[in-house]
Amino acid sequence: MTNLKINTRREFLTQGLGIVGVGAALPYGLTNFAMAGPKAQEGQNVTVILQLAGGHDALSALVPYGDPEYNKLRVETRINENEVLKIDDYAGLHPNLKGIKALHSEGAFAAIPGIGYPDTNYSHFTATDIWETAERNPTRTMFGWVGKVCDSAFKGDLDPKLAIAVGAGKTPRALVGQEHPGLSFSNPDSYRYTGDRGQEARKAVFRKLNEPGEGGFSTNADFIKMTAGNANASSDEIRKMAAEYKPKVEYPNTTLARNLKTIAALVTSGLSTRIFHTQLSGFDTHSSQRLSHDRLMLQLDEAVAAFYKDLKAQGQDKRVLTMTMSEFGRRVKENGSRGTDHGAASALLMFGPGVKAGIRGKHPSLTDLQGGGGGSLKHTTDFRSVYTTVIEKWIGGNGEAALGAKYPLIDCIA
Amino acid sequence: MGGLKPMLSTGWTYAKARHLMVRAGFGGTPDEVQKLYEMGLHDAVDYFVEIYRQPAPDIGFDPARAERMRSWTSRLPWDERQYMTVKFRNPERVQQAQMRRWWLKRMAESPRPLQEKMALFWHDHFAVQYQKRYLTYMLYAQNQLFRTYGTDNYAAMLLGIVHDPAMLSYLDNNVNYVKRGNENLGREILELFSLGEGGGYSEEDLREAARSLTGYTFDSPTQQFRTYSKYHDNETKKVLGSNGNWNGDELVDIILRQPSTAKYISGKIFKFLAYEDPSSVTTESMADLMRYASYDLKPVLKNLFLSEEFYSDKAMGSHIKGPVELAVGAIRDLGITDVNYGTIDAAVSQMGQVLFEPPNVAGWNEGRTWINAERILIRYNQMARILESPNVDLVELLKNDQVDTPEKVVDQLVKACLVVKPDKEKCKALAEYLGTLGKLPPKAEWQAKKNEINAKLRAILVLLMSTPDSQLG
Repeated sequence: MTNLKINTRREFLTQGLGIVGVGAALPYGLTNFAMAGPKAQEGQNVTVILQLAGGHDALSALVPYGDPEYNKLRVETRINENEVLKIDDYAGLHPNLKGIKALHSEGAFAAIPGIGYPDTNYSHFTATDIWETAERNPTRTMFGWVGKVCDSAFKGDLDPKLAIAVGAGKTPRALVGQEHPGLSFSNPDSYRYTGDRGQEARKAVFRKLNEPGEGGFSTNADFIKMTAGNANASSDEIRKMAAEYKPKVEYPNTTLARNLKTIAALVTSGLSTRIFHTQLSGFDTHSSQRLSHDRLMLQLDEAVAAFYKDLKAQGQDKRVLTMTMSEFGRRVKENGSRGTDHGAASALLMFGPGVKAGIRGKHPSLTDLQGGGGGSLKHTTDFRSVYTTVIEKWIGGNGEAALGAKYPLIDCIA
Repeated sequence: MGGLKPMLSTGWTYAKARHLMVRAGFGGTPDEVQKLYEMGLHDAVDYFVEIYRQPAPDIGFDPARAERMRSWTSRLPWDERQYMTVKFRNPERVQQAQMRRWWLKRMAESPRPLQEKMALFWHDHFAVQYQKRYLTYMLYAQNQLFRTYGTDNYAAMLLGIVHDPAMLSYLDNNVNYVKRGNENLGREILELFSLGEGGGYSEEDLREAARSLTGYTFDSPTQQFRTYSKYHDNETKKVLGSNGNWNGDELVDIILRQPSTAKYISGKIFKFLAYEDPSSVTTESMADLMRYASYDLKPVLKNLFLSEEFYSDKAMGSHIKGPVELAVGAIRDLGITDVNYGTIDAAVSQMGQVLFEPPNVAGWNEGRTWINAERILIRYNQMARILESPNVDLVELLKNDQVDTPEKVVDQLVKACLVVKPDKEKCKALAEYLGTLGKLPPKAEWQAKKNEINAKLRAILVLLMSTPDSQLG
């Protein structure tokens, strides 16, 4: 790559790749997002979906310490009143969520307790599908809710980078849409052609062989050429942005923090992505819960706090909203292994100055429970209401068009 | 009688023989394509369709019935339950991986490639996911159903499917009881497996079909089909205009009498083997023949492979290969031996196709869904992995060819593994690159310098298979 000064994204795409001469017309697909340079992306907000995989015991994160039932039913896994970071007389945060408590003080944290849906499914596989597709019966759905949002809200904009999963082995179903299949990579460096084994001469031949054609995508051949061209362009762009990024804080040395740092890099550098996804696993705490869950809370807190501190210093925090999702919560009563089994309702956490801070919903009852054999929480807010609210009030789409049904809005966005 | 208009045998060319090789099978070396071409159109088609004229492959698999988790284990403490789950699930998963590799080996090595290609098609059509039930033994039996009847008769397959424990389990027909029905199979059998959406059934028909299927289940310990008359709904059902106390077999009869069935199935077969958007006239002609032949697939497939449509510009080189077709195609096209099918399995999984694990009951989304910005790079990278392996012997492949210049080497490799030739500029770039790797010794010396030359040729091969053209077949 030569030492050209690359000022605009159009210049980057033409000269950076070295495949098209200056002034030459860019192929169809590249033209679309090349012309939407940094200016068009300014002010366009970004949503980050943070998946807490395994079924998060939200009662241990947003602790109802003021409820006598909590203290009665939770023994080995209880967070005591003197440990809790109090929000009000009823609930408080897990002691390891200090950074998030600080975000709350700044008005950048909201929690929606009792999040779930009717007729809960308690299997990881199916319940995750349900949350990803926003359909109670996901067996025949190909597409996820974010994919559907992109299909409806960004119809005709075929930028492959609109929804990106960072740190995933493969693209989560949530991001897959008909026109927008989503993009994913473990780390920015892994999203690239590796068949050249790092050799420049081979790389050059590869680029030549994958020069995009003039046509759009009427034939399959043209379609593949265009897609390959887009892939190379976006691969270069993403790797460059991630490599050159200078964070304004020191991120902790955990995978989650690294993934959030990558997202911060791409957001700050002006990548066209509107929705990111990343995940933290290990929430299936059937045994020794205080040990594993406490550690997860620390990981979550340090990563999210660093993320927002960095974004704020970069002037990007106001446009980034983060929301957690988890396939289900856990039972109120402990099991015999100092842990909890699969439950129903959980709590959804949201971060960023874009939220309406505080507890934005009704706490679930700890006495009026559901589910066979031991009491799962009944939900007070349907998760699809949260999706609808984020779609309409943050992303700027239409909830019904994306999800196929109307759900009431929640007052959680400022 | 129906059927598609046949092509004149004078229209037969090497390119068309190659096309048949890739579509009716997975691919073949230039020598094999030449042999096929020399047979002439009719014998070439017979070579694929008359599967029993070729020897059966000696590639067997013998799964064990997985021990089921007994119901009392649900009362164990969680830690112990986990131990039991691992004890039963792990051997099952090992077996499942072995089965995937077994099938890939058959696809790459069977002398009856159309049989394996159609088994893949029917597996996608009658989709079932391993992850729901973890039962390799039952999936193997289903796979054999597709192998036995897949080029033979659709009616036999549909009847087989309502007796198939894997399908009955996957679509919950084992809990489809009189008075407490489960409509999953009833719905999919009409919507996805026979008439197709919009094929002329109503919601009422779906429910009545489900009622007809009550009592069709399987015996857990033996994992074989059985009926339970006490679960069967013994009242009259009205399905697609026919009244009677139907059972599953009789439901299949009713379905087969509907004209939409042949049309839908013909359409699907045509899209998989020829091109993606046939006209209604084309599918109806094919369907006519299918009905006339009482769902015998041999005459239908033969007619397709002899037709003008099959060799039309719309069909030649237009098919976007699925991951399995891409990987197995390369193995056959290049005559790769000593293949590690575990590597192939891992590669096709990364590319988005895990055998026995389609994304849902509607099967894989074929065609352009295989290709997107992320997947195209994965496909290139995974194929590079496969093709760099030392058992890819290109010196052997090119041994009879006059390839004394880089240009001729590139041309011959293109002839071997691509259907759509990259344009002149691109071939030139590859030849130039090969030139920079050092002057090739005279052909006679190649055997002696095998390793060194193979290393260079594989580099070109990898680049060749990292082109948009290589994704088509």
